[in-house]
Amino acid sequence: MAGNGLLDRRLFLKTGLTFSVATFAASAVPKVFANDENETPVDPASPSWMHEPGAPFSIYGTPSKYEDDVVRFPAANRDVSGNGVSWTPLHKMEGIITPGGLHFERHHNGVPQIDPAQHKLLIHGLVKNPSFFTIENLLRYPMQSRICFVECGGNSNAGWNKSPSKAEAGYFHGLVSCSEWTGVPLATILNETGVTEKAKWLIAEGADAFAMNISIPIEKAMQDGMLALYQNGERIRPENGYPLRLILPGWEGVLNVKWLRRLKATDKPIMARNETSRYTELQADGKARMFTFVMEAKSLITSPSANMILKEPGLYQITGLAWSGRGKINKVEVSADGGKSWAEAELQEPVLSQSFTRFRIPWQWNGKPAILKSRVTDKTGYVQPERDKLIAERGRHGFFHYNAIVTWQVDEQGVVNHIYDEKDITESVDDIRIDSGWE
Amino acid sequence: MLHKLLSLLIYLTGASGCMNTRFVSLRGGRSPTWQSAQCCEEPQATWQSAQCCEEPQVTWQSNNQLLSRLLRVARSDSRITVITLSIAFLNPAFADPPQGPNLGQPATPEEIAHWDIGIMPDGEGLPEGKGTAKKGKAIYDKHCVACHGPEGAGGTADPLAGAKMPLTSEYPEQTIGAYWPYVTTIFDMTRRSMPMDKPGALTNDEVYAVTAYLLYLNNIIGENDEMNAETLPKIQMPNRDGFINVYELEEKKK
Repeated sequence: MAGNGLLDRRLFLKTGLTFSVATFAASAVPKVFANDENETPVDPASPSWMHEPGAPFSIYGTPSKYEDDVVRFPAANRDVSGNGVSWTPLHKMEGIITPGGLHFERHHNGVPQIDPAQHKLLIHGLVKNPSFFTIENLLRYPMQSRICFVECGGNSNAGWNKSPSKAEAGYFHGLVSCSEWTGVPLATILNETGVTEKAKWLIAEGADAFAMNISIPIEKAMQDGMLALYQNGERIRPENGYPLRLILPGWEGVLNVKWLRRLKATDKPIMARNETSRYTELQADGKARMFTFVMEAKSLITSPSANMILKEPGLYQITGLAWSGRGKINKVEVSADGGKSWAEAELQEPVLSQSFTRFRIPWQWNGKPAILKSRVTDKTGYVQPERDKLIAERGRHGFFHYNAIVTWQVDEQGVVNHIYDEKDITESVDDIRIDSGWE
Repeated sequence: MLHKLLSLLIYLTGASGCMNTRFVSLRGGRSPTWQSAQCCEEPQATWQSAQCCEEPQVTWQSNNQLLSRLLRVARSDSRITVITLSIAFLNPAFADPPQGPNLGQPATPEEIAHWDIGIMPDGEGLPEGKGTAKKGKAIYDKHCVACHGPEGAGGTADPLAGAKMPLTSEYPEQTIGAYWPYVTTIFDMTRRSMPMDKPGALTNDEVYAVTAYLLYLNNIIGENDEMNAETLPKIQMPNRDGFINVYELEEKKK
């Protein structure tokens, strides 16, 4: 059994105890309840809402007004407001599905408002039958669904900074979201258009103001690429690519081209800006990694996490997310003593390939400082690296593909902070922020 | 092929867990549901095997051939049927994709030319037109300087020129001259995405001129060197060999 209060992962299941698990206080961002300043306390035994008719039906539901702090966190270029990102608030969420309205965003020049009747997909290049597909026609094709994550290659990149990010977990690691995507297998369409044997790449292009383009190996496209039309049961939201986007499970977000308008089969990559100048990882020796498509395994504890407060010693449930672009999660281990000892967390079923996997483990906090970590191993045997190991391997200027173990420190007051391990703190901590460059 | 069939069958016997919970349809060997998007995984020894269910997944074409061959056998031998059925689930998602209604509308060469704005690294796709750095400076100062700064540096957007610190330094500067491996990327991106407030507004001559100016700022060409469909792709970028193709390396290891 691991030290510092980590309990058997099956504790809650095994005992079926009904004691209440202490809850975390709200995060450092103060919660603002609309319209409740003048409200008098209600008697929970007979609250006012039991004595007056409730609100009428609605045509599209929205979250409770008391949940108005569960929101994306946008950060855009100050000269170009549509160029930037918004993070998913992973630290305020449970389960594995990201609601459409909280899915992370990365746009290069805003969200196009596309009329689906005026939008077509062109497939051409090394194909026998170059063709247009209207959205109306695509909706008639046989569809399949799968749950998978989409993660920006630049997710968690504040981890490369010399000093630890002070952002909440989701606003640090939330350029990843997980949805049920439904659409037409790309292979169905490519078979119809008759991709020739010479074709090795597909150059995908979006219909946004950036006309974002990127090259995709045709093998991946045929294997499990999807022309997605639906996200979590509804048509894809504009900011996630309405009316049509590519889904390439487990691969860098930038390849999952939104607002898809064109696929050109070629024998070589186009060497677009987003596969040369950007989304490549400069290493310490001056060489850069290119075409690093797969998102390697990552995990983080979402609760308790940065800027939360444990009100009192007692029993808590540590919970978090793990995922791997290479398949299913094998196990997640959690440490409460800074990595000296580890205990295996319970994985919430279903454990799906290239999908968020929720992990949980009970923890008895004794009121003393504690250091929490999680470490994922995926089905290939790959183990999430410690930060010093990742930096030794890649240098600190890669910007993309940061997947090191995340460390949360709980102090005696119960305040949770993001820290680096002592061995990992560089001598001269200047505050170089590499995560500001989302041009 | 026989060897592959045998190893596949051996593989399948160890994967019976796949079939327990999944509804299976034999018709055409296709799965009607999302289950085929998932797969049953055997523990894998190395991280190089990127996707699950590597074993039967040779290529999509041979995979399909393999499947149809097994299906032919299955029709004559019901004992094999169950095993055969699970192949669809061992395969990655769409190795045997559903048949579509064939609703694509033929695209003519003229239409394709109108749609295809991409420039390949060998220069394929470059339009007619020309420009020099001298002309490009005026266009840059009008459309680009607000975000990229004077002479390609100092703005809120990517620095394009003027790198002083090398890529191996503590403060590497990934400008066009220091980092970008292909010259055509400049033209391709500038024409499709720039300027941000009015993308696509520059004429081909203007894009050639701005491209020339950026190359000139990076000391790659002279101020009066004309860039056009002939001359541009011949430019060799200083960091052309500065990249490691990780995908190719992983594919080779498989």
